[in-house]
Amino acid sequence: MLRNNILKYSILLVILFIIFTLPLSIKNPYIVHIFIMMYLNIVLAMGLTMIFKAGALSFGHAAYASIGAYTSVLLVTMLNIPFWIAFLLAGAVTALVALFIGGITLGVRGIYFTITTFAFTEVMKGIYIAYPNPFGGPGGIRGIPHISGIETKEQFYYMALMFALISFFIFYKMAHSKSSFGIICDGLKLNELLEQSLGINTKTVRIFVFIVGCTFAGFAGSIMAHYLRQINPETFAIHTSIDIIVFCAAGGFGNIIGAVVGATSLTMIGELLYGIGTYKSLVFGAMLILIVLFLPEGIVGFFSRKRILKSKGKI
Amino acid sequence: MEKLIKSIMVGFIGAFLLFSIFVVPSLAQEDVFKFISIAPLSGPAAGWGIPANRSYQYIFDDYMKKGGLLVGGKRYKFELIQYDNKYQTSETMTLLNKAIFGDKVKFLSVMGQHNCVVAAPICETNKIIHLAFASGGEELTNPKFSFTYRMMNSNSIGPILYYPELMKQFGVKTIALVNPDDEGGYTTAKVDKRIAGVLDPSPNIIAEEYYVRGTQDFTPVILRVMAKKPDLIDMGISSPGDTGLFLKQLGEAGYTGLHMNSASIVTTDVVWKAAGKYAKGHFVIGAFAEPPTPEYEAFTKRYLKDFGGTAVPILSYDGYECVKALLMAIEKANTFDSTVVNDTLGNLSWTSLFGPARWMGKEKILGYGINRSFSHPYPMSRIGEGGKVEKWMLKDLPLEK
Amino acid sequence: MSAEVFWQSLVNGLMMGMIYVLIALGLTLLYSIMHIVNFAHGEIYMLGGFVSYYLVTQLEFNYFVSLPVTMGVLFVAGIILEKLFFSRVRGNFMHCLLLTLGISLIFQSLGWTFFGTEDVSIPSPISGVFKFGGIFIPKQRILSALIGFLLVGLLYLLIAKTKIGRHMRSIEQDSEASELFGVNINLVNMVALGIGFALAAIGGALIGSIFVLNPSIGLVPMLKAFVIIIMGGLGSIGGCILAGLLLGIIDSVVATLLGANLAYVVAFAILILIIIIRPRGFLGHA
Repeated sequence: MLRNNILKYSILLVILFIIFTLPLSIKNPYIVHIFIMMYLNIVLAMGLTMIFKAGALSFGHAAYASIGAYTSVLLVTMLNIPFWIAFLLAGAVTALVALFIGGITLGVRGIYFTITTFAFTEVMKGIYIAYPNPFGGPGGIRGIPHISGIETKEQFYYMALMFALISFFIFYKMAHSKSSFGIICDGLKLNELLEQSLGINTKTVRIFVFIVGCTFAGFAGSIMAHYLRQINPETFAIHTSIDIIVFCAAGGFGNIIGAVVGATSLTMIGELLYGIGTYKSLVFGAMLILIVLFLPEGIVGFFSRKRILKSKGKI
Repeated sequence: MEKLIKSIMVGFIGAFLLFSIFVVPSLAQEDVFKFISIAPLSGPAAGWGIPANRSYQYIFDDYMKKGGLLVGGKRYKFELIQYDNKYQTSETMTLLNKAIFGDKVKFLSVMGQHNCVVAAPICETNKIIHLAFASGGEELTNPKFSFTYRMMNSNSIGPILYYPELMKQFGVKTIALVNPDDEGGYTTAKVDKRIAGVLDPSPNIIAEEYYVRGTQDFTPVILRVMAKKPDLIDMGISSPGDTGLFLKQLGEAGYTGLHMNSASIVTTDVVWKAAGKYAKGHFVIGAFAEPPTPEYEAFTKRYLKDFGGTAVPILSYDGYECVKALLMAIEKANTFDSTVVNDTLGNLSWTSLFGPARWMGKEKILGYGINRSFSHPYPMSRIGEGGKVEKWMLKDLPLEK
Repeated sequence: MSAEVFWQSLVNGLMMGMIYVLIALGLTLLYSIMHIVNFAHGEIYMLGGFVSYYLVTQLEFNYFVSLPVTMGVLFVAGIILEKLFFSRVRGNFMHCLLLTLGISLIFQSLGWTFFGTEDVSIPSPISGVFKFGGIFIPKQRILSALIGFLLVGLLYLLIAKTKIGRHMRSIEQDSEASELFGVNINLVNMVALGIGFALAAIGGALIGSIFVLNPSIGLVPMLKAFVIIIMGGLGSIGGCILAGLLLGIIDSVVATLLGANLAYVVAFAILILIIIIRPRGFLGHA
């Protein structure tokens, strides 16, 4: 038992060590780039997972990321506001939009809500294209200045890593806390009627969780925009939302660790298949189907099931 | 059975991860000249990207017939890597990153005005020879981007040559600009307006419309444009597919004026397939009614034999020639050092499928300041019956003005 | 905007709306009778277009013959998909959505591989334009709208007057009770699914002769179809028709007035309004 724990913790330490020293050991900017995108994807996937825990499937996650991205970019380029303030404001704006849209649409059941999120993504894209002033139209906005102090890729790597770690802790606490909040969240999916009969305002909790998930998407979008230093409406179109959904499904829907696992592995796989024909869609699509049919709890589910069966002496 | 599938899936993902991090970047090959093409292979602009890649492969095959690329006494084989940028800048950026730092190439081609504009500074900093398949000279061809070569005639030349002749021969006075809703479209409209302004007599630009590439229903735009009663509708940099659909709906709506594409090279039979008789008389650039050289005719026959159709997408010839120029420059400089090749290439003038070819840009009316714009004899034509190219006039560049 | 332009865009919108109705009808059949959320519906529409294209251009079918053949092919395809995939996720909304999303991605990818990425169009049997007052209507659009109208009428007759239609209606209300009354659930479900697929397929075939086809065209019509069935009311055919025509008109008029991008915003705003004010849609059941 103790031996198992020591093994587990040392593996964890090794992984952490590799992650923290990656830019120093691997000098290839392209690989560092993949990791940065991976960290941002992890945050996006975790946000979507939280929304899923609240009982809703959102196709609009990329749109909320876009709101954060455009907000912070416009604040920096047009009003010369320093990045960190713009970053926080971007999150605030995203939260407000999520509050507004979520407040209206979360009251309806599953499929209706999902369709509105789908439509919302198209609408945001349409707005960015239709109003080149200030959004830059289809060409988007280019030449976004560096964040002062973070000029090299390596520095950005650490910033993205910190962002991912902090977000992870926040989400993990939210989802797993033994506090009443965490239990309410879990219960939302399982038995809403019961909770309502207990006097818990499930709608408020649900909106709150939705806002948190979307706000982090906004933060991630802001960082992505200042990293790529150019954004356009296609970056945050529906296919991005679909990618995030596939991350979550592969890792295990409704599970924060699952979001991390899914985003990590599929960002890598996605990069490998990048630009070479249309195989990314094929692989992602096949993955979705296989997971739904054979492995509904995702990769995480596979391992936890194995662990349960092992402890029961079955394998 | 279920467990087996699950184990396989997890194992697959794990192996993929390890493979991707550690193995892929180190896969390199000796004796191979790698060239990467970042072009739209899907979506509305695929009608440009796919033929371009085919033409690159053709010149590589032609060099292989001679034994390969000869540099430093050694013969090199070719590898054409095709990445799909879906005509978007975000994809282009990522693919460019991959090409320069992942695949580590020194020579690549990017297609699409907006894509080339974001690629140019990166290629400049990293000394990558950037063959830009874009027509916007004012943004792309300037001394800041000495490593960027534009593979097409500049989009200024269309209006410079066509507007005066259309005004003289057909009495055109008012022009409506209809362009796709992206950087290429905005740039083209800007250039058209500028050129219209400096011409004397000056045509009147009465409308400026934009549509999303890949739109199928152009009727809203058509209704707005026709309400202003233009003599000429200039579709600027519209793709062949969009042009065809647009012309069909334009004709159905009863438009009887003139129409042209002043900045994009459209394959006449693609346009005819979509628009039928409504395509007749459409003014196009870059389309030769008769082959200017025997080599041009041979290329045409070769392409049609391999890929079918009745007309070769015109930008294939441009693609072929520009990559050929690059290979010539590499062999002449006898090195893969991109700075040396850049110097050789920039000063190269050669015999092409079109006739004499070189890079232009320092001319006064263009005013780019550097010679990096592909130039060759410029046919002015119209679409005739059945999609054939009907010769109208032929102009030789350089321009004196 | 002058009156002439307004009426022209209205008529255009009406024609387009008819095709939206076809796609949406299929979707609502699948959802209300079989409780399947089909995110691959747009791809069925796309495939229908391409099947018709190949029938007409490669196998030299007559255009009017190709239409029912296309419907038949996709009808059968629907049955196969049902047996392989849909049957395993019925009832579980999330799984169904993810599964059909996966199918959609795969179909798109296969589409690009097999059909190429370039636009093609189906040669239409009639050409020319019909002039009516100051309005131009291409004859092919009128033909497509008429075909759509015909199919909707047939569907109505099927559901209202035939035995299998009655069974569909009873399953929609209460599938368990229906089974007790001897309704062959499996058979009726399969027919409903087949019809749903066939309708989407013919939408694609009709569009292919008016505009162009490429493997990416499925996404936006599918979104519009979902919006329509929500606006019209899930399970209501009349509501679907009403909402479909209305959305077509709104799309067209707003696009002419303000540009195509803002047409999305207007449609979205209306969707939100419906959800707040009248969640069951125009004619849906409470």
